Formats: sequence, structure tokens, C-alpha cells
Amino acid sequence: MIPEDDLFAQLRDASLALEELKNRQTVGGDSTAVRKIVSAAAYDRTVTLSGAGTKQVFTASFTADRQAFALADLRAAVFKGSPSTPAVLYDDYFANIMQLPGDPATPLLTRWRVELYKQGSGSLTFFLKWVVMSVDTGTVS
Amino acid sequence: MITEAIYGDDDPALMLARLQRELVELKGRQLVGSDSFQSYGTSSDGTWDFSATLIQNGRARFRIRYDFDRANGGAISRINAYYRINNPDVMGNPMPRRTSTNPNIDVKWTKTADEPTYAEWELVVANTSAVPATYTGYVKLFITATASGVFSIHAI
Repeated sequence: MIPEDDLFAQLRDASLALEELKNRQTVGGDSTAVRKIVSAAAYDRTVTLSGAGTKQVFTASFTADRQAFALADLRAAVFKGSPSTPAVLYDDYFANIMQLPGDPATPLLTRWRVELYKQGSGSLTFFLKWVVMSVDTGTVS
Repeated sequence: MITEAIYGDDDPALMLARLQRELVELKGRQLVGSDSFQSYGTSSDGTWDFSATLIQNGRARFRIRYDFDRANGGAISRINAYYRINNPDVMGNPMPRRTSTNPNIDVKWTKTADEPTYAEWELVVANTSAVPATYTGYVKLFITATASGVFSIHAI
């Protein structure tokens, strides 16, 4: 049989531990689970542009598996000539990426407007690959 | 005589019941958000982080690397860069990123890596002057991320 004093001491310790657990637990740093999501395709968009300053606008989409309005960020990897030759920022292109307003009717969907501007003369075929970092898993297209 | 009358709040049966109830509450779904989700803003103490002195059509490239302090499964991270011509007090009069209002120095960047322990961007400073002229662009960086960390700047 556990001595009465020990029993009380153990119950009080357990109560104290629970109180500590129930306090505010800040989540951040290494405790935020983040996923990198890419499609299975070699590239997600392609376009051929001619002349300096020409532009193509794309829409990239991320559909979260579970979380409504999941925090997500899009990166556009840009290639030229083939899906494996990186394009050179400012010499070949620059891009503006803007997140589009979320639609309450489709809370799992996050969309971005991607503006791709060609730099320099001549004609160039670009290949774009979307990379999404999010707090939820999902699909990118 | 009943047990409660002897022990009051220290009744072991009541304490056990309370512990069990609170454990059940804790084992339920724990939502994280609002003031319990922490993100981190990182910037240096200086008025500028790096500069580039460029002749007409000149360009300077930099690799910005943000190493996470502890995260090893990636992070959501964004960078913002302010700049100013010929003046290191960047935030005293930060330039909008519009060539229409700033025809001589342009700054553009793109993220190049999302790795488990760091993120990386490439940033270009360009002299876009229409006439031969030399300008110095001073740049200050601000990073927002779900992980704390430190950034470093490398000319490439």
C-alpha cells in the first residue's frame, strides 16, 4: 500500500505538471511542421516569348488536403530552353508573384498570379515549375 | 463521516477525477493559431545591409541565405528588400519598387531554394539609367519566416 503522504505528493506533482501543460504553448521555430509540395510533372507551365519586356501571366493553384486558408508560399523556378536549364534572373527574365484573394467558397484553395517578363531581345522558351511551402499537405497545379 | 469532510479539496478521489478530466481535455484536438503560433521577423541593426556601385547597365548579384536556428524540416519564409540611391539611410526614404518613380536603380529577387535547414534567394541590383552615370544602391533586408534564423549575404 502506498503511504498516504506519498499518494498526496504524487497527486500534487501530477496536478502541477498538468497545469504547466495547460498553459500557453507557443508553436514556432522547429516545432512548426512545413511541407514542400511539387507536382509530379517535369514542369507546370511553358511559354515562348519574343522581344524584351514581353509578358505572360499564369495562375498557380494549391489545394490543401485539410486546412482552410492554409498558410502557403509559392516559389516559381524558371528554366529556359529545357526544363533543366535555369534561366538567369534579370538577364533572361524577372517575375512578380502575387497571392490572389482567398475565396470563402473554396477555403482549401490558394492561388497566385505569376507575371513572367522576358528580358533581352530574341525568342526564348521558358519552363516554370511551382514549389509550394505550406503548413498542410496538398496538390499544386 | 464522509471522506470529503476529512480531506476537502485534497480528497485523493476528487484529485484523481480532476486529473483524469484534464488529461482527457488535453488529449483532444489541439488547435494552433492566433497568439500561440509564432512567426519571426529578422533584420539587421544597421541602416543598410549591402551596397552596389554600378555604372550604366551594370548589375550586381547576391545570394541571400537564411539559416534556420533549429528547424530541420523546412520553413515558410519571405524576403523583402528596401533600397535607396547614394544614401545608406535606406529606411529614411525607402524606394518603392516601381521603375516609374525610380529610374536609375532597380532591385529584383527570386527565391532559389527551400531546403530543410535554410532558404535562399538570388537578388540583383541593376543600374537602369538611360544615360552614362554611376549610382550606388544601398539595400536593407527583412525576412519573415515560421522559423527563427540568421541571414548572410554573398556576392556572386
